[in-house]
Order: sequence, then structure tokens, then C-alpha cells
Amino acid sequence: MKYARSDTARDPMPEVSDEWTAELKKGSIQLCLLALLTKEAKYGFQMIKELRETTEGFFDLKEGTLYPALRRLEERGFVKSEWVERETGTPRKYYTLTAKGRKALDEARTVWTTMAHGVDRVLGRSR
Amino acid sequence: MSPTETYLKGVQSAMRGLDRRIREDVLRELKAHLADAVADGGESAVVANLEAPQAIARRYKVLYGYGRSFQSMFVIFAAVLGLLTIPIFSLLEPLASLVSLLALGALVTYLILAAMDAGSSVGLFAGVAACLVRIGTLAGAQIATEIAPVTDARGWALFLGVSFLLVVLGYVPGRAREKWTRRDLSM
Repeated sequence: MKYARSDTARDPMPEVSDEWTAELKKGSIQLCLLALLTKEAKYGFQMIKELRETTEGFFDLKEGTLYPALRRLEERGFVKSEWVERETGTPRKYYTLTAKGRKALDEARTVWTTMAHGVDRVLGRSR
Repeated sequence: MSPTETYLKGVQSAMRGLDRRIREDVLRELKAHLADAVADGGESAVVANLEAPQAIARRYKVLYGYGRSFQSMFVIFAAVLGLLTIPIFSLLEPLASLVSLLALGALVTYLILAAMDAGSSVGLFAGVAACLVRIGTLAGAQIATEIAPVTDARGWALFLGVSFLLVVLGYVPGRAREKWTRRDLSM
């Protein structure tokens, strides 16, 4: 069986290294995952799909990246998980944001907004 | 067996050594994910996008490390190799010295590889086990043959130096790898 590559940037941007884009993604993935859980509990496949659609394909996570990331968040106490049986089909594991996770999300959002605002201003100046 | 089932078997096999409960939970979650993905896009599309089972297993190994029983095996094996480094089977001379030298080479290689693979803590325990077994065995041999010392003071100094070096070899490579490969960008 031939296997796909891990999550790295695969966009045709010859002047920008894959590593740089991959680092940007890695640094922001946990923030995005927490943000996806603000309103309701979600399961992994649902989160991958939602993330892909919302970011227009920029975040196209593979299962081998998503689930370890969610488990890291769970180890930190930012999310909790629960298996939910279904009437038909395989049971799903749902992830919920905890109070600690909500606080972490607020703090991270502040950092992100400040950074994005600052970078935007610099980029605006360079145009 | 369907391609996704074959894939799950591959992941299960690649995760050998991880704690059983973690392994089962990861596989259950992956199975649920693949079922959703197949229902959404068809099996052939899902299979074409799968990562290598070894890559998946590596991430969980970094996250959780090996299970206790697997860690113990690393330590026990180092202790056994440590025992073989002592030429106590004098009846087999000169073969005993050769065996002990070969065992020492194997032990050094094993400790470095174990530390790199299982982490600095397991490497440290393996190094300490090998060191204590060596010292204990030679001290035991010394007591048993009190009249004829097994080695002189210089021999003991060299022996103890090598034994303590095993502890360092069990710890440092794993620690260095952990430091250099720490790419976890957790919040």
C-alpha cells in the first residue's frame, strides 16, 4: 500500500519554503482546534472537515496530525473527550472545551490578534 | 479484509510497545474516523490519503512513550547484557574474555539505541541496571574468591569507570535527541 505524505505545505510557492508554512500551521493548529469547540462538542472527522472548509483548504489535516494534537490538548486539560454510542454506525469520540481551555483560548486569541494586527500593519507598509 | 482494515492492522502492529489501553483507544478512534471518511468520500479516496502506519505510531510514541511492560523489557535486557560483560565463567577462558568484550560492545550499542528509541528515562534506568549488575556480579565474585582477588586496584578503577560510563551512555543520547527534536509547538 502506498501512503500519503504527512501534513506539510504542498502549495506551489517556490520562493517560500515548505518548512516555513508548516511551522506557521503547526503554531496555530491548537488555537484553531480550541476555537472550533467553543460552541459545541465535536468529533475528529467533523473538525477536519470544518477546518478545511472554513480555511478554504489551507488547513487540510490528516488524522495522524489531528488526533495527537487533540490528545495533547486533553493532557493539558484544555479539552475533555467522551465516547458516544450511536444507534447505527461506529461510536464516536467527542471533544469538549473545558473552562481551562476556554481561558487558554482567550489568551491565545489575544496573542494571535495582536500579532496578526502588527504583521498586517508591517505588510501594509511594505506594499 | 478491506484496505482500511488492513491499514488498521498495520497501525496496531506499528504501535507495539505502547500501553495497551492507549493503543486500543487510538485504534478505536482511528476506526471511527475511517468509517466517517469512507461514508463521506468512498474507500478508495480515503485509502489514497492515508499516512504510513509507522508515521502515525511515531507521533503517539512521542506523546505517550512506551508502556511500562515494554520499558521494563529494555531495562531487563540491559541487565542481562551487563551480566554477560563479566568474565565470570573462568572455565571457558580465553573464550570468557572474548564473550565479555563482545557483550560490552553490544551493551554500549544497545544502551545508545534504547535511549534514542525509548527516551532518556528508560535509557537511564537501563544504564543503571547494567551498571549495578556488573558491580554486583564482580563484587560477588570477589567475595566468593576472597583468597585470590579477581582484580587489583587499577582493574577495579577501570571497571567502575566503565560501569558508570554505561549510565551516562544510557542517558545522554536520549536526552540530546529529546532536546534537539523538540518541535512540539503546543500552546
